[in-house]
Amino acid sequence: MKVGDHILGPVIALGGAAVMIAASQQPKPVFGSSMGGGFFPSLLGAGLILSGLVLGLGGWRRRNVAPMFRPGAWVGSPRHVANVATVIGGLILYIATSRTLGFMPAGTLVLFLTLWQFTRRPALSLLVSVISILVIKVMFQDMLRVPLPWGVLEPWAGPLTWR
Amino acid sequence: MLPAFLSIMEPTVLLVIVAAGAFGLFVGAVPGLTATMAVALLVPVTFFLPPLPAIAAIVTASAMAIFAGDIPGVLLRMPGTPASAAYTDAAYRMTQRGEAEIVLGTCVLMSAFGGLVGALLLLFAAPKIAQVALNISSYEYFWLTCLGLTSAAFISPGRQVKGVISLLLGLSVAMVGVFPVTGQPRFTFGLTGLYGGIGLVPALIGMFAIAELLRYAMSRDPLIVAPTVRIGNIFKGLLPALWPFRRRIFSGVGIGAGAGLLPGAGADIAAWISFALARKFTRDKKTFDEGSLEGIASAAAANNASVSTAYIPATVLGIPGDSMTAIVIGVLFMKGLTPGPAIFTGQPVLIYGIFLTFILANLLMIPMGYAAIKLSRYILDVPREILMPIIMMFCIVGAFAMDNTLNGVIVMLIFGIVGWFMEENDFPVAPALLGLVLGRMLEETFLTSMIKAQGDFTQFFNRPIAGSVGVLTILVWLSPLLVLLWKRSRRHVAPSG
Repeated sequence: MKVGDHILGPVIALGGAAVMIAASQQPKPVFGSSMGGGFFPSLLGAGLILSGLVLGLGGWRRRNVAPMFRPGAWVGSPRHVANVATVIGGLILYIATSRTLGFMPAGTLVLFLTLWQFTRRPALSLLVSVISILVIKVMFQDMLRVPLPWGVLEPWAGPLTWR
Repeated sequence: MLPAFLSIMEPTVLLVIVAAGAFGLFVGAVPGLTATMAVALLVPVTFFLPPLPAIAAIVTASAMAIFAGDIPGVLLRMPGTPASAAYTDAAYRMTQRGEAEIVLGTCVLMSAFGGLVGALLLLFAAPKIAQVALNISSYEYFWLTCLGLTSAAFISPGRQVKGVISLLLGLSVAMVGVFPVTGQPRFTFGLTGLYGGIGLVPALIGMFAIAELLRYAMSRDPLIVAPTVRIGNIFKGLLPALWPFRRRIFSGVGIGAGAGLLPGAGADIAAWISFALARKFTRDKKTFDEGSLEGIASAAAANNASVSTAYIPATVLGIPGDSMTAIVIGVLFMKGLTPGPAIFTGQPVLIYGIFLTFILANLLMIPMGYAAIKLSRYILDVPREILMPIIMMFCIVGAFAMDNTLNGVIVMLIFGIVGWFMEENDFPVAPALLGLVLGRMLEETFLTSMIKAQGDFTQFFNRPIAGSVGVLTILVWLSPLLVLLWKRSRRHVAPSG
């Protein structure tokens, strides 16, 4: 997905302006008059405004050659759109459900759905997702002691821990 | 040096090195998975290791992955990592003539050789430079960091202004969190989860692994077909074949070592330059263009040499030149260690241990690389539609493991999408990462210097080194403007003359 520089440039410059405004609201410490937490960010904001304008100007000169917006080739293929939606949707699904469901159920669900979309083979996807989640669980939760959420499996946390 | 040697000879450290090497070889050899991604995926695991094995794992994995990128390049004409792209065509032409074995042998031997020479330079030059660097004050430090970041933004491929924007965005993101001097939250949007700042590791996994996953999900390239070439003894007749090119190989190592020192010019630039120079100076251009070992040997040595020497500015000054060393700096910070000249006196065992790991990793590259080449049929055959979702799960757990909250996973997702969008629009990602790693430190040295100078900016130029580096940095900043003015004046002169 390509967006023309004459669009991106002003957006970046606006972002820089936002950084400068936010920086100006930082309190100034007593010593060294003007150098509070806002000083350095305001330099960065000014840099972003300047470089955004340079980018936008260059893009404006080439506006006839470079289109304003060009979607990637994948947008034309429903399968690839579904692939992308599965990856992003899967991550959002994990973020939304892992605390209540727990790592193992939520992880298996997300992994199964993604594998299914990519391979189109449900049985294989289920097998691979169950095995992978078990391996990851043993590696991270049991060996490296990362406190992955138990969720609904909380009552069986003891017997399910391998150490 | 002996305690450092003994410390890397500990069984656990050796085991970590071998495991990280195998992992790096695998990730590097699978087309579409980059060396940086190998390192990004490794970081969450290294979080749980002591500093030496943690950095040793990263060093070994990165060196092995850069070499392993040659394997699919030679066999499938698909560079496994961008660092191999320079000579992929030449190598594949030789494969088509049935010379795959000698090309692969050249790649593994020259990668190890380049890496070893680079490692020796690192081992002997870095402490010397550190002694000099011990005298630098915050003024010099500020300018050196500025110069490093600026050249990283300017040298990176694509338009300079995009590199600069990428850097500024990274620096701005680094500003998120509580400002230590006043204790005030800054750019946190009222979210307590952002008080500690944006987590480096989740951002890194997002930019280098999730972005890659998205690219895979939308790629419409045909599936790769595993090669049918049978690979025999890759070392047969290798040395006599390489001997005539010895000068080219040494110049490749030299270019690689130099490129590693330069911020922004990483392994891929080293390979491109040395390949181009080898072509320029070759005696027989026709044979060279049909595919000969000359350019391949030079470039394969160059990219690995640069991996080693990139650690000189990273360890001596704490200024990383590319994404890989930026990650290492980030890991050192996480371990409570501040890279810089003082680390040579404060943590000699660790720092020499890291350097010795380079030598060990490059020596191990020959047998392990040989094994990877032998197994390449199977590695290249790994179904990526199964591998990619599993990698996604590892990313989730890795991002979560940093502070044990879902914030990491959210940051990873956002940075994944942003990283993908940036690459899609030709914004280099590495300067953003450098900015993210160095932002806080740059602000700190700047404020320290300003307070010392009592707000007088001329103090930044009063010391000889600080003054020269400062002027140089400002000249680099102004260089696009100067080039523009020069072009204009020439345009004005041309019609009248």
